[in-house]
Amino acid sequence: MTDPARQATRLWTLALPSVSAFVASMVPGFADRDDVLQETAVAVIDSFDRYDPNQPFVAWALGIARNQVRLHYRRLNRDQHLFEPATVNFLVDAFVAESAQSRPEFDLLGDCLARLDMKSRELCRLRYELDLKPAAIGQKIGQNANTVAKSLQRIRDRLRDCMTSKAAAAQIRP
Amino acid sequence: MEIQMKEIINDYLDDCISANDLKTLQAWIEKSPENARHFAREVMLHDRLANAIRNEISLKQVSVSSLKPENKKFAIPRRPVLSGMAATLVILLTGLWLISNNRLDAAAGINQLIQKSTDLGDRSYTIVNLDTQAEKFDGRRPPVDGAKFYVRGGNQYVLIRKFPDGRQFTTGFDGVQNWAVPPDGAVRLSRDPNRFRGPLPGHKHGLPFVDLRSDLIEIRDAFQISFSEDKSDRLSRLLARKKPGVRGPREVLLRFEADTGVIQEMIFSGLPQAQGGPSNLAVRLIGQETLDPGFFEHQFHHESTREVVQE
Repeated sequence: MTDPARQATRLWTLALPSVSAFVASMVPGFADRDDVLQETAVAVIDSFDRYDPNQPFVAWALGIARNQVRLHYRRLNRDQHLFEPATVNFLVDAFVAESAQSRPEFDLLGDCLARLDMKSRELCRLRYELDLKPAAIGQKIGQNANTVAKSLQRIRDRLRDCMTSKAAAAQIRP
Repeated sequence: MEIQMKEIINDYLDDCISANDLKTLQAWIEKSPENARHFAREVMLHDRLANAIRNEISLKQVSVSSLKPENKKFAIPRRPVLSGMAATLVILLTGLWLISNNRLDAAAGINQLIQKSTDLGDRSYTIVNLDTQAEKFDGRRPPVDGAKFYVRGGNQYVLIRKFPDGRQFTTGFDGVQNWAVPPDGAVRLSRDPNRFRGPLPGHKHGLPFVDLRSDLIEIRDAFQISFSEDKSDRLSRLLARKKPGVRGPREVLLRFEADTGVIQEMIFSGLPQAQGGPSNLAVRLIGQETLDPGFFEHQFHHESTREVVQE
């Protein structure tokens, strides 16, 4: 592997969590997210020779991701759920800022996930593995969509609380 | 943050937000950078959660569906204790141990399969477009649907595609250089390793399956893998699901003979559409007869009077 390729791979690996989340915020559906993220990865590597190393890599990669999101919607001939450009500007800045912040609590997500009860885990599976919306999940488990949506919200709250408290406990440990 | 805003964000994450709430969310994000960062953190949790769940499911598929009772000591824990590359390697080694169906250790198992991939003889495949719609034909490039694909050893190949009027466009690699024999005009030769390889299934995405050995290594490193056996046809199945952020089709399913390593069928699903071609296609084995010694050289596929241009 050449030095530029190695450098591009290293920078992309570091930027990946932020770029992935940015794409997820723009594109509903995990399969679509994966496709756009993949096209972004290809575009980043293909155009790496145009990257100015004096600029933050994440911001540059998010610019490419933004363009790939736009192409994705153009291919689908639809623009539903797409934020206005001004909102996207705010979000790009927000993801760049968040990428500079260390978030060790995310490393604890697996542990917290394992502590969920079976019902919550099944809801997570239906939502995230099968990529079902609350209405479709509700049909499968005999609940209305609103109840499912509330349950998913509570699960994410619990996971966030769990990660935060575990991270805090880890910090005060001698 | 107000409860209503929290609910709106969650509705957005679960793709069930109303048009009015979307406007409210946009206004809230634009109200302050801190709001935008809060939204970004919520999405990051949502995104990480999706990856974690899908990784966990992948691990479970191996431990639940593939392990035989006598092999329980090799079962992967229900809760993943490893992540990323290490977990993938564990899964691959476990699966290889299972399909080899003997007492070789896992490390020997992977070496054995990789060794088998380089010892394979000639193989002939046909390519089938699995999309519900036919490929768009631009008049210049023949469709890949119905093409014949021949492979020898580690990296020699011939791909024969046909235009709707029956004219052939043949490309290949003889072990030294790539070549292209269009229906008209000059035959072209090139030592550029990527030249003329665009039509190969998976080539644009890093998985051309011409060099099976390197492609298996690529799959090991960049895909989440599960193994199982199909009792109906005694073939082993390797399902590779792409990790986020890497090149490649969304899924690759390989159906192969465990004892010989010969792949009977490769199914590529979710090929990116930005570069054209089918989104889903199958590459099916049609024969293993030994081909002519010169079959993978360009001269075999055109008249000796044709102009040949070395690039």
